[in-house]
This record gives sequence, structure tokens and C-alpha cells, in this order.
Amino acid sequence: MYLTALLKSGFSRVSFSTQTIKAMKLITVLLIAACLQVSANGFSQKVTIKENNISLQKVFEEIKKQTGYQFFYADEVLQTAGKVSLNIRNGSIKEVLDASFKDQQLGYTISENTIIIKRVISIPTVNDPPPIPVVTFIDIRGTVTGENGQPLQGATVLVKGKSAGTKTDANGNFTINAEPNAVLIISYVGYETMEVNVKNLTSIAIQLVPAITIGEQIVVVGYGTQKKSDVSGAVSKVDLEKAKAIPTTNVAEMIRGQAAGVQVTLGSARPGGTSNILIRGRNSIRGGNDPLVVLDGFPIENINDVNPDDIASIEILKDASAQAIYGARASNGVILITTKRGKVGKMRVNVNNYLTTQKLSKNFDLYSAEEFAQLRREARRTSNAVVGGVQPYSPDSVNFGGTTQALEYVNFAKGNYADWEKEVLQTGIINSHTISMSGGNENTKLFSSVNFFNQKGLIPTADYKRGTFRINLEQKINNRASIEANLNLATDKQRLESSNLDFITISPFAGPYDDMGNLVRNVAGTNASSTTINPLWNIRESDNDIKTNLFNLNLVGNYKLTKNFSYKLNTLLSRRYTDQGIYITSIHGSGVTDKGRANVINNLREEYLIENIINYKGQLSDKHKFDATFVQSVNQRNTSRTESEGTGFGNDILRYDGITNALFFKTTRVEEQYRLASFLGRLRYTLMDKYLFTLTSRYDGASVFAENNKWGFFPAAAVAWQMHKEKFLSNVKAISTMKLRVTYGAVGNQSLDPYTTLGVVGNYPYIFNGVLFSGYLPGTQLNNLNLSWETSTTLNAGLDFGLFNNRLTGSIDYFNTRTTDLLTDISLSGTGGYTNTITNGGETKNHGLEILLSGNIIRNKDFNWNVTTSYTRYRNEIVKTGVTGVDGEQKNDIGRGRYVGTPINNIRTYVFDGIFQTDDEAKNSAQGSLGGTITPFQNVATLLAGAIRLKDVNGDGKITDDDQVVFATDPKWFSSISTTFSYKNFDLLADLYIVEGTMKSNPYLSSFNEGGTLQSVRNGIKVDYWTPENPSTTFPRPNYGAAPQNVSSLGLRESSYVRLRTLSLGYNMQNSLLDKMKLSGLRVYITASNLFTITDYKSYSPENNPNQFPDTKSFTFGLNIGL
Amino acid sequence: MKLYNKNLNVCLALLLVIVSFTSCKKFLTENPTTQFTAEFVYNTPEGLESAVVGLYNLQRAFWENVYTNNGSDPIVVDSRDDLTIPRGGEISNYGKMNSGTRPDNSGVFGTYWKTYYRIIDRANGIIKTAEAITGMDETRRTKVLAEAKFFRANAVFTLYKLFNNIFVTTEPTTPQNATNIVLDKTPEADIYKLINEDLTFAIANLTMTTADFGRITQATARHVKAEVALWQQNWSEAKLQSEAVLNSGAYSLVPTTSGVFAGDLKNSETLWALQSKQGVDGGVNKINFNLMPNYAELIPGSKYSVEQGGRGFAWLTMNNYLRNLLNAYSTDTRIKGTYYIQDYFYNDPTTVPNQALLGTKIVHATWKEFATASADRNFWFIRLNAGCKKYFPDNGIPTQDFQYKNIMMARLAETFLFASEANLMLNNIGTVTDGPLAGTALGQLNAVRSRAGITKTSLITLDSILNEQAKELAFEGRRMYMLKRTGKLYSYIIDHAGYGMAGDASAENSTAGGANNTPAKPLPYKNDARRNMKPWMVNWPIPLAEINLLGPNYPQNLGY
Repeated sequence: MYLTALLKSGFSRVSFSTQTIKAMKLITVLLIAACLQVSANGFSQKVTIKENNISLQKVFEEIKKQTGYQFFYADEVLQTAGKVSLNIRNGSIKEVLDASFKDQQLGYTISENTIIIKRVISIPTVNDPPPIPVVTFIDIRGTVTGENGQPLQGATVLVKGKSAGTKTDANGNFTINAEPNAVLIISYVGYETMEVNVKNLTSIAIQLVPAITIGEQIVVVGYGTQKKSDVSGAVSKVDLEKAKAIPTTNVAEMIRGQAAGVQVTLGSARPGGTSNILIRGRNSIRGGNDPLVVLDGFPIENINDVNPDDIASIEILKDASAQAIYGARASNGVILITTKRGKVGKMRVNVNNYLTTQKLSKNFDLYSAEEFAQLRREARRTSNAVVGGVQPYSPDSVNFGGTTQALEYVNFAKGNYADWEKEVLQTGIINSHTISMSGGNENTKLFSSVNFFNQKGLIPTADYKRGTFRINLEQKINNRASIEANLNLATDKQRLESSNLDFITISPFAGPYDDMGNLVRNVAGTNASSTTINPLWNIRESDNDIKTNLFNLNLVGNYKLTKNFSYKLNTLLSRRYTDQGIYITSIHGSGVTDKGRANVINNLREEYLIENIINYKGQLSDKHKFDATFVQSVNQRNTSRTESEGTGFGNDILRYDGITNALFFKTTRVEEQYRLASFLGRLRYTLMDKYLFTLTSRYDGASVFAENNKWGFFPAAAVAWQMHKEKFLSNVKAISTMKLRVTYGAVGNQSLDPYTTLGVVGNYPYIFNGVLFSGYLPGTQLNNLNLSWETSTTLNAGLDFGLFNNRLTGSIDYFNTRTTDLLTDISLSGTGGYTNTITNGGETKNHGLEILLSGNIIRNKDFNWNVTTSYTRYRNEIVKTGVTGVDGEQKNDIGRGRYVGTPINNIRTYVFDGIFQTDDEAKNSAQGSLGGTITPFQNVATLLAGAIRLKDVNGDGKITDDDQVVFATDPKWFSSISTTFSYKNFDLLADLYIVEGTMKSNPYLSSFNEGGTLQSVRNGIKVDYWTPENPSTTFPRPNYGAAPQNVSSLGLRESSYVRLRTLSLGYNMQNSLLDKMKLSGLRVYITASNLFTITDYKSYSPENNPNQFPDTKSFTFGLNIGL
Repeated sequence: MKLYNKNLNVCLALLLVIVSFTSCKKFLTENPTTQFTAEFVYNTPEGLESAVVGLYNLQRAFWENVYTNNGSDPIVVDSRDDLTIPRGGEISNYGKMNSGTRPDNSGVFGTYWKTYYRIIDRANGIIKTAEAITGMDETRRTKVLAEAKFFRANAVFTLYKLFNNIFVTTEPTTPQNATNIVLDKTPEADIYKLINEDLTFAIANLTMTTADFGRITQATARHVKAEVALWQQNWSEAKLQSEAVLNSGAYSLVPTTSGVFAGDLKNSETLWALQSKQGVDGGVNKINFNLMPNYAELIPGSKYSVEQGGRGFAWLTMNNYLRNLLNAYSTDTRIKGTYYIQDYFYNDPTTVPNQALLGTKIVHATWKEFATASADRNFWFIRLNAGCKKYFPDNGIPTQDFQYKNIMMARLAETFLFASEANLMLNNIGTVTDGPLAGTALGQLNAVRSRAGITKTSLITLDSILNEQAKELAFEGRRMYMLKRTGKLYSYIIDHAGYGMAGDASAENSTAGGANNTPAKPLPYKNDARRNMKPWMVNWPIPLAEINLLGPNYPQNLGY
């Protein structure tokens, strides 16, 4: 409920300037001053008004103008008020108001200079009996609820054809006196108005359907909110219903597919892991491309710090105009997360629980033990001499270790086979419990929640536990002042396994247990040359625990200086403390030399933010509205890290907590400070509610830049045109809304580490005669004294539309970004003694297209069907690498994989072109000897049938560095299609995610440790390899002794995919049953995640390789209860 | 009213700016609390001294990189000589000359390039500021200058020996000059001039010995200057410098070869050793793992032991050419477990199949050097071939890949050989009875031979010095330089690299060159370098990544 003070016309020079001075004082001392009095002296008490059919607001304004009296009322009070016609000359205020309120359910009280308007429901009193009705009236009772059965407070209930009406109470209940055959009209903001025939019923339950009123949707933008229809920048709102169907603490994964232009890729699938969010692709090379995450108006470090259950909305700012307000850190886009607030009404308690089981999902086969044996025979056979045209196999004792005592041979002979995937992996389990409460009155609103999340990972000892607590409090102090406090506390513990994650490729002829069932250490045998340590052994012999405490406090003060001016103070204190303990025992695979190693690492990150915000809302007339925002902000981030390493332990009993007992110690300490000072302003101007203009600019200073280059200026402008309000479109029935948006502006990126420009030196100590001497020298990176901001300038053109009564809505956006002064590492000539320096010499361009379409195909009381699809394509390109030649021309930076005219993310490789089928073919190929004129690309001894043929890309008859080709790895496009069905109390959600044209290098097809070199030392992904009897054209001949030449060209694979990310079925209990159970809501649901994936990329998931923590398929059962 | 509002806005904004701006400059100034700036390092006496300490660290860091190429980068220079078998692993690509033959397959050479240029630049910075600094004690200043100049000379010399076409400057790299493009190599005469001037300064200002074991001494500088003189064929200078060390009385050969690599290398022979100390400073290296075979794998009764040099993977082992040189004298101690080891013994009573075997030489039933099946020969090379144990620490854990061990950079045995060569060239040969300090070619060569337990020779040629150098200094990164200097690198690689009959360049296991799998005519094994070696490969190619960063016409070495 928002209180509005009407002060529209009361400005006088005197009163205004007084306030201005006070305002300035306020800003200067950063305090909220005492209440300001609004002077109302010198006004007449008489009112003259002559208007036909005007709104009450207009009447109040007129009274205000003439008398200086202020009006206070709740907006909704006037919602049902009718228009009036007045003709009063020199009347008193009372006369005017009485005339205005005739036939209205309204009353007023006058107190000093203030008039308070209230709703009045005429209730017949005993003393004053009502007139005897002509028709019998009855009391009709009812309940109004929303789509999830939640009671709607303040819904208007009117009798059709009458002015009589009422509103629902906090429980959604109403009572109205009407004829038994009356028709009730029920309306509520955000819902479609419904007519209900009473038909002699005395009790009615009415469930309202949410209206498709996209224009009225409130969107959070930087430093404020806007109606969606007023937004001129490119802003996406995430559909939380769909997002929250994913059972995870990884909020980034929840956003995936929910907004056009936002690409999420799996970072780590481990419990407590993160994903990478990329908004509109890549602009920056070294600065990172992570978006800025703003929680309730305050930047946060890690998007996963938010408990998903606390989130009320997520908005994504994608173009420069929307981002410019966050200019300094916004070049990669901004994600605005708003947590739930308390609402007026009784306290509601909500309980949300779910249980998830996770299973491995994969689309490849390893060699079975028998197949692996055959691979080994072939791999050994390859180096055997050809005798009489036949290449014989070696005896199996030679094949499996060279002797019958070899462990592999013994296991092979006995049929002792190990399936390492089964030996190591287990079923993952997640459970999550949240209790939240929310409620309040007009002065105090509270939301609070507690969550406990526990995940047991697929790999033993890889797990994650988290507890979070949040309290969001809003307290009104008086009509002018209010405060808000948001407190988020979280504590978590992540345990990490100590093992290479490529354990699945350990030979199947070596198991984790000996004959006695004890874990073995070296899987290939005690003295084996193979250093492969049993992963289960290493897991047992190590600890790696990360405990984090997070404390995030926002305090906000709001003060309304005048009707138009308001002041806001934002303060943030956030502190993250991480305590990590690592222990490697003296028998762990890497602990022997050190005789046990403990690392205890403490990280502390503190962030402070103070913002002074002034808002001005003005309206010159109905046609000209404007508002302005000014912000002054300072931000400081401090990080410190202390790491103690102890080695040489007498025993392993105390693990890392026993670090005190170490023989040797080494402690390192790093402290960094980062500061940002900013001034920014935004001016929004609306002409005739049709043309919207926004001007934003920001002036930022960042400590990380060189002394004289700390400041950057980032302006942006936006224009939007509400086309459907134009005459030529207002008659087109099919078009409900249509808005054209064009924005242009700049944002900055300052992702540099502190002290980069200062030329700090590194520690290079040394020992002389057993005594430690400290040594300091510059590191490998040369400092640059001129580093400054990199700037992304974006043009965005977008069209928002709603067709066929908003049944089909959508938006299309095109953007074109150029990032100049790009911070780039450039390789320096080795002759100078430095490997690189950072310059502002790079430049990239990036353009793309985003489409979002949502169709309500079926929409009626019982059955709804919606399909939403998003589509994004973009392409970035390096314009300047920052490396220049002698004549200043741009050169490729091959060492860093940067080539002018190609995307930032790429793989440069020779191209696989089949398998040589004969020795002659191989020797005469472009890879072979060329008559001794140049050194052949490949040793001729390896140019044999079954070897890999490389493509002679430039066709010059030889393979040289020029035959390497640059492949873009980012997707050509990605898309999501989601659909929701609801039938009565059931709802079904399906969410399909499509990524097309992306490339990755798969080590399982190219690297030794992952079995990709077909040497049969390690197991690997089963492929159709070449043998003399099987002339494969896709994979080379296995060779035990050596990896196939150019095997890396085999790794590059397309990793496009289609995945059913979510399939969820839910049931909401009927109100009648809920009432009996005294519950306000009950929902049960089952969700399947990653149910199927279609891809050619061989892995657990097309976004991670099989040597990374496996992604899973999961099933969730959830229960939400509203008490 | 409109106008007024505008004024007001401007007014407000201005006020904000004024209030906050005054403190902004200070607010945004960076003050690191846990690090020093380069300013401190180069502009204070303490800083300069600590910068010199940093130079030693840079030199050592080259050996500590155990995670790339299995820690084999520092011994790539050994893989490119005539004494080793590149059996497997990353190092073997370089040893077989499948890699390191073109700019685009020579990535590891870039590590050498970058390491030594980095030392040159940091030394340049130290020298330039130390020469200009005021208020520094003169003794301290000359010591700083002398050590820095030694490092610069040694780095320039190493780069020159490896890459030939090098660019050298004495100007430290700064943000202002860093992007200047290097257009041409430095003339050879200028390179030698800089090296000799720096070494002369170091010799003049350093003492012959140091209490800070591990620091550069006058002896180290003279030793390097002697080598420089040999490259310049300035025989008298080579004699002067090497004999100045030999005759100083401060150094002498360790009496037996078993003491040369013992402990922390602090002995009378060591002229320079890189220092580290477990748990205090300096990291592990993986050299021993590359060089030692796997004698305990699948051989019951055998376990990895300290005496036998721990455990390795036999990636770069000794070839039959070197082994034959060492075995030419049955009394040569060097191959009896002091420098190298060729016989492994049953030593594990818990697994030995027959107690009588304990302490006897391991002779495997099938894995033999001259077994019929190539797989069995291969197993012998992995598990029972001769290895180098110079990098295994006395207190090492024999089963481990990584070891802490000081690294020998220069020792007196080589100084003797330098002196001997110089005297040979000056025709100052002497007789078989000459003592080590007689100042004759024979006396100096025989000093090394006697210490190794072999008879003195009365005949001396360059070949006898080359052979003695092979036996004494193999796997110490010295061989390739000497062969290149004496013009024999190409022919010796063609004749001896890898395993097989001298001069047999036929393919592995081939009998085409007349080999018949007997000790006299062994089958070729991992001898690819013999076929891949080209005359121009005595100079390493400047790696592609590095040549790309030089000017468009910077001269790559001829042939590449």
C-alpha cells in the first residue's frame, strides 16, 4: 500500500529553496535530518472549481493548488471512485469535498493542513434502520484467491449495476449485501476481472486468473523500479516458476534458458559448484566476462550466496542504457536479484522441502575388459616385426606386463576385472528444507527464512552442506522516513575429494582392492612404473574442507524531502570468511616426499558500499513527466589471505588440525584493496506516455588503474516509442502493445587485480649455506603505467510486442557492441625478460540477436497452456589483438590464441582428414618427406598405414603451421523452449535447452591420461580404431609405445546438444481440502532434471568432459506447505 | 519553474562533486601492504642485494618445473647429445629429434630462451641502478655488480651457445621500451665482448671462495671465462683462467667419485651448485625420475633403494656408446654406482624367490639386452639398462618421483678438462708422470682419470679429452656444448645418438645396417636422431612463439 502525498502545485520559491539547502546539508553529512515542515501559509481557504467529468485526483490537485492543503490516501482507495462534475464558486473545502464524494464510498477528515481520504462502507446501524428494501437483500459471503489458492487481500467486489461494493480482508474474505440473483464483479490488480452470478448462493469461492498485463509488470532496474511498459532498455525478467524447478544451490543454473541473451555453461557439477554466466557473449578478453550481480540493490560477489527460496525476482540488464547506471562494472551485463519482502497482512509461514537423487548420465562406453584386452593386443602387435607379410600378436604374458607375474596379467588371466566407474561413484542425494515467514502491517513488514541444504555428491567425500538465514525488514518511521534492513547469514561446508577425476580410465585389470579386500595404493602394483594411485586410496588419505561464513547486511534509509524529492542512503557491509583445511597423509599419492602435508588457508573478503541517492519525480503537465536520479557512491573491497603450510608429520592422526606438529612451516600472506568512487545521474523523460527518453551517465574512478588514468566517463541514451498508443495502430485489433526501443551507450570494465600498474615485485628467496636469504625481483608480467578503463559501447534496437490481446507476447533485440581500449595481455618478446604486459590496445566487436516469444495457446478457467521460447545468437570478433608489428599493423598473438577477425574463444589446430590406409599413401602425403628440401612435418618412421592424415588446408603439398585452422568454440546459437500446462490443480512444466554449433576439445579422444591416445595403458572411450583387418577411417592404429602422431586433431568435436532440462509435475491442493486442514496452501511436485540429452559429444554432459566432476540426471520430490 | 529546476539539479550535482572529489584522489591511491615495489628493489642497497638473491632463484626455478613435460626441460640439452637413449616420455621427442627440428615444434626451447633472457634483463636492471646509486657502501656495490655481471655473462653465453642468432642489450626493459621491436641479432664480436667484460669484472671483484656456499665466486667466473676462451679458441686465456682456479689451492678434486654428488654438494670440487632445502626453500625436481630405470618393477626380490638411485622411468638412459667407453676400463668407478649404475642387485629379502639370490646381480629370464623378441629388449631398456644417478639425493625416498637435490652447475673436473684442452692446443702436453697441477695437458687429463680409478694415459688427442668428458660429465648438460664447440656435434649424433652400432642409421630393430643382435652388433634402438639430424641443427631453432615476437626480418638460424 503506497501513500502518496499530493503536493503537485504548491511550489513557491521560498519553500523550495529552504528544502534545497536542507537537502544539501543532508548529503554533506550523510544523515537524515529532522522532518521538514511544508509551509502552507498564504493560501486561501476558498475554492473555485468548474469542471465536468473529472477524476477525484484532479479535484484534489485543484484544491491543493488553491489552498495548499495536502491530501493523503491509499492509491487503491480511489480505484473504485467515479468521476464527478463540479461547479462551485468560492466554496469551502468541505463544500467541494462533500459535492465530490456524493455517491462515492468515501469519507474524509481534515487535520490542520492535511486532508485524509478514507474508504467508507455504509453499514446500516441499529439506530438508523435502513429503508425497507423493495427487493430482499441477502448477505453473500465469499473468498477471493489467486492462482495458487493464496488469499487476495483488498480485492474489489462490486455488485453489477450498482455503486455498492466492498473489499476483501486479509484472508480474502468479503461479505456483501446484494440481491440473490446479483452478479458480482471481482477485480484485483494483476488479475483478470471476473463476473460471478450469485444464483442464491450465500457462500462463494472465487479464484482469479492472473491477467496478462505485461505493461503493468513491475521491473527492477538499477536504482529503482519501472513499469515494464516504461522500460526503454533491454531488460529480461526471469520466469522464476521455471527457474526454481532446478534443485540446486547454483543460481546460475536456474537462470539458464530463462532469458534470451543469457548463456549459462556448467562450471563445476560438484556439490556447491558454480556455473558461468555470459550475457550477450564475450566482449572482454582478460577482464573476465562475468556479469555484475546485484542483490537488493547491492553488488555481491557470488550469485550462489542467495538461497533460491528467498528470491522474488531476477532481472537481467543487457544493453548499455540499462547497465549504464552500474557503468563501472556493468560491461558484462547486470543480474538484479530481489529477495522477497514482507507484505501487509497476517503472518504467513511457508515450508518448502525437497529430496533429490542424482545418478550418472553418460553417452559413451568404455572398453569392456575383453575389449580392452583386445585393444592391448593390437597396441602391442603394432610394433612387432612383419614376418612374411604377417604381423603376429605377442603372447598375452608380454601383452599384459611382460611376465606372468605381472598384476595385469594375473587379473586378466583370473578374470578379475574392475569397473572403476562403479567402484568410485555412488548415488548423489540432495535434501533441502526452507521455512519462511512473511507479513506485516502498514508500518512494519518482515520477511524471514531459514534454509538447510545438504548434498552428498557422486564421489565419496565430495559433498556440500549449507545453512542460510535471511531477514528483510521494512520499517516506516513516519510519513517521510523509513528504513530497510536486509541481513543474510550463511554458513557452509564443502568437502572436496582428492583424486584425479580421470579414474574411469584406469585399466580394468587393476582393481581397487587386494585379495583380502583392503584398498591397494598403487593399482598397477607396488613397484610399477605406472604411478596411478587408487582413487579410493587418495580419497581416504586426504581431507579438503572449505568452511565459509558469509555475512551480508544492507541498511537503507529513505527520506522523502518533498513530494518530488526523496533521498536514500544505501549502505552495505559484507564479510566472507573462508577457512580451508587440506591434509595429504604421508601415504597419499603425493604426500610421501613431504611426509604428510597440511595447508590451512584463511581468506577474508570484506566489502563496503555507501551510496547517497537523490530522486526527483516531476511532472510539468499530463504530457511531460520526468524523473531524475543522482547517486554518489563509494565502494571498497578488501581481501586478505593467509596460508600456512606444514610438512613433515610424525603421524597422520590429527590431519590438518595438527599442523602445529609439522616439522617445516611456510606461511604466506596476501592482502589486497580495491576501491571505486562514482558519480552518476539518470534522467528519464516521458512525453505523452508514448515517447520515453532516458539519459544516463556515470563517472567512475577505480583504484586499480594507473595514477593519472583512474577516471572514466560512461554515458548512455535511450529512446522508446509506445507505438500502440499512436492513432494509426490503436485501431489494429491484433496489436495490443508495441514498443520500439533504441539505446546507445557505453559501460566500463575495470577487472584488473590491485597493484597491477605499480610494478610490485615477487618473492624470490634463496638458500646459501643452508640459510634463507630474501630475494625480490619483478615477476614475468611487466607493469604498464598507462592502464585505464576498457569501454564497451553498445547499440541496441528492440521491439516489444503483445498481439491478440496479449495472447502472444515477445521481444526482439539486436545489439552491436564494440569494446575499445580492451585490456589485453600481450606477449612481450622473450628477449626483454618479460612474458607479457597488459595494455589497453585490444578491440573487439560483438553483435547478436535475441528473440523471446511467449504464447498462451489455451487459456481458460481449468486449462492453460503456455509455450515460451527464447533464441539467441551472437558472434564476437577480435578487431585488435593489441600486438602491433613494426609498422603499427595489428598482428595475431599466436601464443595466446588471438587472431584478428576470429572469435575470442577458439581452438587452433591441424585438421583431421582421415586415416592412411597404406604405408605408401602415408609416406607420399603432405606430412611425409618432401625430397629432403625441408624437414618433413612428421618423422617418416611414424608415417604408416593407420596413421592420422592431416588436411593440407592451403593445398601447398606440405603440412606447415599455416595449415592450422581456427575454430570458434562458442555456440552459433542457443535456444530454450519451455511449456507449461495446467489443468485444474495439476501443472506440468517441460523445459528444453538447445545449443548449436559449439566446439570443444575432448581429452578422452586425444590425451594419454584419458585413454585418448589408444595406447591401451589406460582405458578410454570405445572407438572404431584402425587395424590391418579393420581399415577404419575415423581413428588411428593403437600403439602401446607411442601416441599416434597428431592425435590432438582428434580431440576437436562438436558439442552441440538438445537437453530436456526439466520435466516437472505439480499438484496444488484444492481450497476446500486446505480449509479442512487449516492450511493456506499445499503443493507436491516431482521433477526430473536432465532426463535426456541428444548430442554427439561423448561425455557425462556436453558441457563438461569426463575427467571433470560428472554432471547428473536427477529426480526430485518436493513439498510446499503454506501454514 | 523549469529553468529553476535545472539550476537546482546542476547545483546539487556540483555540490556532490565538490564534497566528494577532494578526498577522491587519496581514496583511489594504491598502497600495497604485503608487497614491495620495483622502486624499492632497485633503489636501495638492501633491495639491490635481494635482487641479486632473486637471480639465483630464477636460475634454480628452471629445475623446479616438475609438472610440465615431466620435469624434463632442464635435461633437454642432454637428450640432444651422443650419449643418451631417449626411450620414452616427453623428453624422448626432443632426444629423437622428432621435436626441436623446426621453429614450430620447439616449444621447450622457449623455456631456455625465456629463462636466460629473464636473467639478463633482471641483471641489467640491477647493474644499471647499482652503477648509479649513491650512498651505497662500495664493497657491497661491487659485490652486487660482480654477481649480477656474472649472471648476465653466463646467461648471454648460454643463449649464444644454444641459439647462435641472439639479440643482447644491456638496457633493462621498462614499460616505455617494452614494445620496441627487436629487428636484428647482435654481432658475435659484441656478444663475446660483453661476456668477457662482465666476467673480467666479476673475477676482479669476487673472492675465490665464499662462506655463503652456493654463491658465485671468482672461481666460478674464471671457470666460465675459460670455457668462453675455448669457444673463441683463445687457448692461452683458457689456460690462464682454468689454471688460476686449479692452482688457487682453494679447490681440489674429491678423492673418489662417490663423494662428488654426495650430500648437498658442498665439497672441494664444486664451483657452483644450485641450493635448496626441503621444507625451507626451493622445490623438488624430477630429473632422477627421467634418468633412472625401473629395476624393481615386476622383478621379485628387487626394490628401489638409495644405493641404486631410487626409481625412475628410464626416459633418458645411457647408450651403449657411453657405456662402452666407461667399461673400457674395468676399474672405472663412475659406472659402479657413483655417477652411473649398470648392475642392479636383488635386495628385497621379503620377495626374493630364492634367498641365495640376495646380493647377486639381477639377470632376468627374458628381459635381456639381446633377447630375440623386441618386446623383451624393450623391457630390458625400461628396467635394467644403465642409468645416471647423479641427481638422486642420499636421503631421498627411493620410491618417489620428486626429489630435493642441489644441482651441480660447475665443478673442478671440468676445469681440469678445459685446462687440458687448452694445453693440448698450445702443444703443452707434458708426460704421463705429470701431476694435476703441473700445468700440462696430460697431467690435467690424468687427474680426472686417476680419480675415476682408471690408468693414466700417455697419449692425448682431442678425442681422448672428448671421451673423458663424456664419461665424467654425461647428463650434466655439458656434452652438447663441447661437441658443438669442437665441430663434432653433427657427426657424433649421426654415429652414436640413441642405441646401436656406431654409424648405424637404419631404423629401430632393423638389420639393414649389419646389426645382428649381438653385443658386437646390437640392433638399433631409439636412434631416430641419427636419421633426423641435419648439419644446421647444431644451432637450436628460435621457437616459433619467440620469433613471432621479433621483427619481421629477424634472422632465424640457417636451415630452419
